[in-house]
Amino acid sequence: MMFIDPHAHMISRTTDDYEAMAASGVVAVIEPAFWLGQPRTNAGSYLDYLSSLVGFERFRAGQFGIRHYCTIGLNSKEANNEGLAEAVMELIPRFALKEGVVAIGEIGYDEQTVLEDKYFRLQLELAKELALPVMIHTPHRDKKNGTSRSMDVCMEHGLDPRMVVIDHNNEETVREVLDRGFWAAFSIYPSTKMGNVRMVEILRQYGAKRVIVDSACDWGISEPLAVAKTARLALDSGIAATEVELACYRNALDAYGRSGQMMESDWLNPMPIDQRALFEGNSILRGGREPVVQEQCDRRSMDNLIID
Amino acid sequence: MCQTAEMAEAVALYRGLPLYPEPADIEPWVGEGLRTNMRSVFEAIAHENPYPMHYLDTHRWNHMVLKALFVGSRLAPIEGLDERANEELARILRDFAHERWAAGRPVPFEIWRCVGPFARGGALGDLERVLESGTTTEQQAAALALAASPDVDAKVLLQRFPVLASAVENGMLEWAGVQ
Repeated sequence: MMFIDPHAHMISRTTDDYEAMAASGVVAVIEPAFWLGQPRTNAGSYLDYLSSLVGFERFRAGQFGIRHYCTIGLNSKEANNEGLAEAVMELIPRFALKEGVVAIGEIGYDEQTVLEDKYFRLQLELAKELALPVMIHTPHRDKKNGTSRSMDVCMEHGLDPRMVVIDHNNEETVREVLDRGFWAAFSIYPSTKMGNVRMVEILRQYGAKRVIVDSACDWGISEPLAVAKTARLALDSGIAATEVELACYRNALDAYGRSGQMMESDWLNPMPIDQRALFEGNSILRGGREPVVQEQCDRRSMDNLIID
Repeated sequence: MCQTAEMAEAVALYRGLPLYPEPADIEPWVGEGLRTNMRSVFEAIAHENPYPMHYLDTHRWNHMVLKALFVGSRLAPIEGLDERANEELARILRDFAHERWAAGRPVPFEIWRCVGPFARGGALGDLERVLESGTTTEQQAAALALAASPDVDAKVLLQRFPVLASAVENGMLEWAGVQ
């Protein structure tokens, strides 16, 4: 079965992770623009970050046979620094229509402040103008309220719910998101977000229509094989293969494919992996390393199936 | 200095908050510190520091308390925890408890300290659940929360657990002793 991981912060991950993801069946990843664990203090570092998402990181993924897409946006945490936020908002349109950019995101609320609200709304208007899907980060704190509010604001700005993915759902938010016609994404992320046993229960209870599974793997303790592991656990638990395929592959393609930037042929008819390739003169190879793709890597594997 | 601070420097800078001139003007910088993922930096602001209780508005105060729970920090060392308890925080904390229960994860016992003074209606149901199925520590926290509730039904509920009720009544059970 082929998988898409539609939320993965790959700049924080190693080449081992790319190899393991490819071996587990991941054919494409979407890397949302977010913060780096500590705040950027000037727009220049933001520009270079966005540039790396559409540049070197895409190249790096391709070296392991994975197609890399991204979403562009000013995240909610850094929206609280008004000077930075204003400067970054100038950058967003310069990146939003580049090849491989499949949405404006991840945007939304963190602490639900006035500034977060301002830049969330401005970016929703931009997404509407550019006819791009939106990836919404729902807050960890005051989640239920913040999730409802995010959807209220989308409706207020006239967005079509079929163009909006509400991410980081849980048992308390899923029903409202689905009832209101939005895509409901779930991040299978140890300890703080969803576990995959719980995810299988969600699939059993709600079905897979408009449900999307992702890993949200980043610089924290997270699991780049979360989509593949959840799929296997769901199959082992008796969820129909068609449902698993919807949640772990097809719905992400359907939602983000609306950008016109992501299509199945991208990976069904791929360029062969050639690690001799260069990106602006740079290779992923170091120290005269032979450019061969290794056999399945054993540091990461599909053992230890349960994520909680 | 703030822009280039390493972790220990950031901790030192934030520990000094109560001493700086024009304390209200540095609130945006404090906001940055509270958004950090480094627990030691977060606690330099949140724990044993009088700045937050004097200068954070209710919204930011509430998010500081929530953030403490998310990074695994204790609530007890937050200065002004009881004085600045408020209805909105109590609601958010109850939502948080329901989310954790739905996920099959433990609920930090200290949240009930902030819920107690506003516990009525559904909140009493939450506390009843803790009293019936919680650990000893959680039960003690729930009993103290019920004792702080303005609702007469809270007193009735507490009396159903006579050992805890009398421990609260005669002062044998206090927040400082709940670990």
